[in-house]
Amino acid sequence: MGCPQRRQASTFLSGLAVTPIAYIQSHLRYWTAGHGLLSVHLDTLLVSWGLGIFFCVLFYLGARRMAAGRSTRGLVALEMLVHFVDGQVRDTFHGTTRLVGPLALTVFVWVWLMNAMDLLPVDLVPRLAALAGAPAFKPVPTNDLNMTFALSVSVFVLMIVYNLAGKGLGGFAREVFTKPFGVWFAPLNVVFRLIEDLAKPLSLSLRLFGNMFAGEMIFVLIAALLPWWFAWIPDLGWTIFHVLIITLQAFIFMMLTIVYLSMAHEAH
Amino acid sequence: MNLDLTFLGEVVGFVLFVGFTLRYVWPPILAAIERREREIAAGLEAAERGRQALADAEARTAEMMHEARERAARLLDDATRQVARLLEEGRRDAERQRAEALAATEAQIEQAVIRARDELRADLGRLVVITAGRLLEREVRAEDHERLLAEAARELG
Repeated sequence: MGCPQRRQASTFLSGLAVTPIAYIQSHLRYWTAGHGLLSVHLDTLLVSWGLGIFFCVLFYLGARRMAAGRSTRGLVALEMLVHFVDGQVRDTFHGTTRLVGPLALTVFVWVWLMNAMDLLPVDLVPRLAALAGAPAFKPVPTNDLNMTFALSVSVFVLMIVYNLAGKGLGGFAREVFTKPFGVWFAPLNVVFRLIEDLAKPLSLSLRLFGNMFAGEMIFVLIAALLPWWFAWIPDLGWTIFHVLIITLQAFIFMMLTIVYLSMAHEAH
Repeated sequence: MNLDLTFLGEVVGFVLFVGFTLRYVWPPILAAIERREREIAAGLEAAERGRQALADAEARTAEMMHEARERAARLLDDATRQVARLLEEGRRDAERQRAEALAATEAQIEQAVIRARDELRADLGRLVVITAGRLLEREVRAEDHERLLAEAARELG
């Protein structure tokens, strides 16, 4: 956001008195440190790293217990999740790889956890952060283009790596210059390939960002425009619907990651 | 909303988390899943073997039952035949004994008849001599007496 935080952090009580416009704007600001290109969104970093570490620790403990032969309900759920992701990878990615499975699992769980922050009451985390002294706080990391682009650009780099690993430099170059129109249309082929390959990370990140942005905006609008004694009804409906959306978006991100990497690995 | 250093921080985080998952999370879980699958496969195989063994045992049991029944039938048959034979022998024995007893009795009766006839003959002779003596009114001489008796006996025999 262009404007620095002119408005003071609202407390639980004074926050009720602001206008709808100011309220909505307060939900569009990141907790930023630094200026311009060298600034960082502390809220996005804090929540995403926290959730990533939570995911790693949780799954590491689960994996250790599972390796020790223990079996509880939670471990069975973990096993089902890993089995599910492994099945998706095996169905889509033909060829041997050690990376795609763990990558897909990390993408799915991490994105789901970050999306799930949207299910917390829309003002809860910002108000708590305000009490702790943060001028603004967006609790959903996937509602930040930095986050979604970080994922999709990483996947894009991996696509290039897998292109080279699967076809070699010569095979990759031949594919770029000769597909789909043959060698005499090499420049056109390159342009097509650029558009095709750049569209993948762009659509991947913007899809996730757009869904999460819109999802949170609905919560904000419900809270901003409806009286408190009625707001909980559409809020409940949208929360239930949103459980599906966050899961679907995490799944789509994971599936497309696998599909893009498998397309990169195999010849067109 | 512009891209900034947050992007780099998230890339680093992503790489670290994927690396951690690749190194410490994915392999043990997948190994556990594969071990579980092997155990399930082994269990199914053992169940199949058990089922096969049960079928074998049932077949063997049926065969043994069949054999036992056959042997019992054979024994019963033998016993029946033996009983019939014993009965037949007994019957024949009894018949033979009856015939023998009958024959002995008949012989005794015959002898008794012969004896009775001899006695009757002797008595008759004596009666005739006595009667003849009376008719002749004299005593028949002793030698004549004997001779007459013998003659009468001869004629009657």
